Amino acid sequence: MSTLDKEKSLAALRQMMVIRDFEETADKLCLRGKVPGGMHNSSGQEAAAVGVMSALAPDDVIATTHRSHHHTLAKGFTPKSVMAELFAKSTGVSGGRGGSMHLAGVERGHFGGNGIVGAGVGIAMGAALGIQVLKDKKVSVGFVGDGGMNTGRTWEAINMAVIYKLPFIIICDNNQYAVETFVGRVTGGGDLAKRASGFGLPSFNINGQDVEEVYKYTAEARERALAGEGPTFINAVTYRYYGHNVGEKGQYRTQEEIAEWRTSKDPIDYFTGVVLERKFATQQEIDDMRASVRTEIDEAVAFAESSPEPAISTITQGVDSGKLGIQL
Amino acid sequence: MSTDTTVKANATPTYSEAFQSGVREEMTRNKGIFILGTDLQERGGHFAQVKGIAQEFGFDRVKDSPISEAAMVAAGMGSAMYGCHPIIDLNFIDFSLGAMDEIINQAAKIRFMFNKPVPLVIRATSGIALGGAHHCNSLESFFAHTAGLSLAVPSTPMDVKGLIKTALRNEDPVIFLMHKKLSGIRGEIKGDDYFVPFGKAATIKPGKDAVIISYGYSVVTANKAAQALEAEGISVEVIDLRTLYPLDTDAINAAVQKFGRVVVVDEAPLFGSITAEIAATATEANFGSLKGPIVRVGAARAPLSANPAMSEAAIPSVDSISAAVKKVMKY
Amino acid sequence: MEEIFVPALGMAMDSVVLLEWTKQPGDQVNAGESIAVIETDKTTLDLTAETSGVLGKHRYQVNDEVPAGNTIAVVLAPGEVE
Repeated sequence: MSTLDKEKSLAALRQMMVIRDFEETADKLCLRGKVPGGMHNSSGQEAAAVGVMSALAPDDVIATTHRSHHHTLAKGFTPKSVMAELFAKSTGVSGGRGGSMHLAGVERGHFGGNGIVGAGVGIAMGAALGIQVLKDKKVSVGFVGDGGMNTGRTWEAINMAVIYKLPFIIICDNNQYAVETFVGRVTGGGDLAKRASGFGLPSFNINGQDVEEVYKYTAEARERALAGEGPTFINAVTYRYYGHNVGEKGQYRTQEEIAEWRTSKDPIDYFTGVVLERKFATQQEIDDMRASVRTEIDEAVAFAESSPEPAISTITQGVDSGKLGIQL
Repeated sequence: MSTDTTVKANATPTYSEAFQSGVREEMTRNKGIFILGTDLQERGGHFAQVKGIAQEFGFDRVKDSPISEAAMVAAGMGSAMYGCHPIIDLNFIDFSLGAMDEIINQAAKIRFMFNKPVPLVIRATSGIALGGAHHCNSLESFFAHTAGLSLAVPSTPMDVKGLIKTALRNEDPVIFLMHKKLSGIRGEIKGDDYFVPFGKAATIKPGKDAVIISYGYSVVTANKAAQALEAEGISVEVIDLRTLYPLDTDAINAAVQKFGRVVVVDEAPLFGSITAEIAATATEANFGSLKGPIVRVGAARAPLSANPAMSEAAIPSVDSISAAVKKVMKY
Repeated sequence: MEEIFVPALGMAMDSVVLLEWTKQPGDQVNAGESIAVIETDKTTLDLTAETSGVLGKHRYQVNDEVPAGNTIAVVLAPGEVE
């Protein structure tokens, strides 16, 4: 359980490349006005998403945050369907109604991105309760950012998961900045795993740039959850390469800091090295992989561009079942 | 690519700068005023509403907060009871939902129960623009419905400054809503001694045949509709309420009595909107003056879609407001 | 050829006002230099070139409203024409 085999390693590497290319491409399109309302780029955070998802079964549940393109792609949603949602087109994962911040596919275990900080943790905790009540053999994962570590609802959900011993994993996808605010400036005590451990659950600070480390801790947490041992808290420390929202260029961190993470801690560069060293692929095969990813993202953009808008006539459809015996 | 520069476009300030101006003046006067919210010190808030104030008044009086809405409002309320006059900046009004107990159950009721004023301003950006379902709630009727709260909804830089200065001289909790789409509009503002009273509407455009009563960004849309109708020979007055509680019932009654043809407009879902309160109150007081029912224009009963065309179609437009005016003109 | 365009930023920005051209058609442009100054709903911004070259035509005039996402000029590499 501690390392990824050849097949999973290559899948993880390719998935990280998909996310990176998707985000770099979408960022440029967003600046051109193609993503209504803007978006939150996850470049740099690929390993945290892919590492978690590599340890999950396809029908495990996730719920996530405002920055969730990487989680959604890693969960197995196609770049076409995610790009189309960014464009608010009818072929998007949420039919164009959700947009970048509200990617979801509930029937496939994706309980949604979220515009409200910390809200995804509670929803995922509720899904874990459902799993427990219905005696299913699944786990639920709630993603939250470092910003969400200081909102009460996050800790209410964690406490509840502990007392009910829910099959639940909390991943702090910790990119270290809540918008422009460094986590250390607003987080009492500083050590998030230590804070979580006060709630009585196994809690770990890990390297979120190493996909294999994220995989390992998530896989172990999943085993505990399935064995009825309750939830685990994982603080995966990572870094976002771009601003909070597309186009944002704050003065809150130095160019040197960004460059250091990009050049010495990049999750894709690092894991490419691992794959080459273990001889899971040749350099040529990795180059081919990158080229095929490029094609896939180009196709996703073309798909999103050519997809139809949702029909205006649907604006009040799906608000409720219409079966409440009242006509509004 | 783009980078920030310090070039100023022209003399008149933006809506956000008008807020800064009023807050600066009041902070200079009252040492008990401080601002607490997310990303205020360096970024100056997500809509530049407090840009530069931390640099001028110090980080003790402009505090960056964790994303902890309940604690933010509680901090404001407790410090207000203690003797400060805080401005709690919730960023988007949608995020007030994480602090609704502190606002509605606590801050609004303390004076009544404990005979202690709570001089607290809760500022947030509101209104419908792009950004999807979690950033485009119209919560005006929640707050206006709650005894103990006042609610400011300015539509011009002049009123932003005049109303925030009044709010910061007031003793009671004020919800101060600034519309997303108005952040960059420019206009004249006045000096240190200019205050806009709460509960006093303004006539944006005079007219002869009918009246549109509105607030916030809807005033802009209503004004466009009125200009378009002018070309068709219909002269429409546009009234900007400026605050929703207290509500300027005198101005509303006078307009109803003068015109007898009344349209009320906002962006909130029509069912349960503050426009229903306005129409009902105006009808009760002035039934004999009305030439026909007051017509309300509002949003569809649906969350806002991320799709721009769907979102636009859900809220009042120049066309839908014009159609409402034509309807009352047929009475 | 690099397109210099108005970036779409924020939730309520439909267009910006072009305040000033800092480079004229035919001017040599170095990477990182300002081409024009625009005013958004929140601030004023310099639009800068990422590549070096020669500036092409001004596609908008000062005080024009430019829709977000639109190109205002191009920077031409040697041998390129607009």
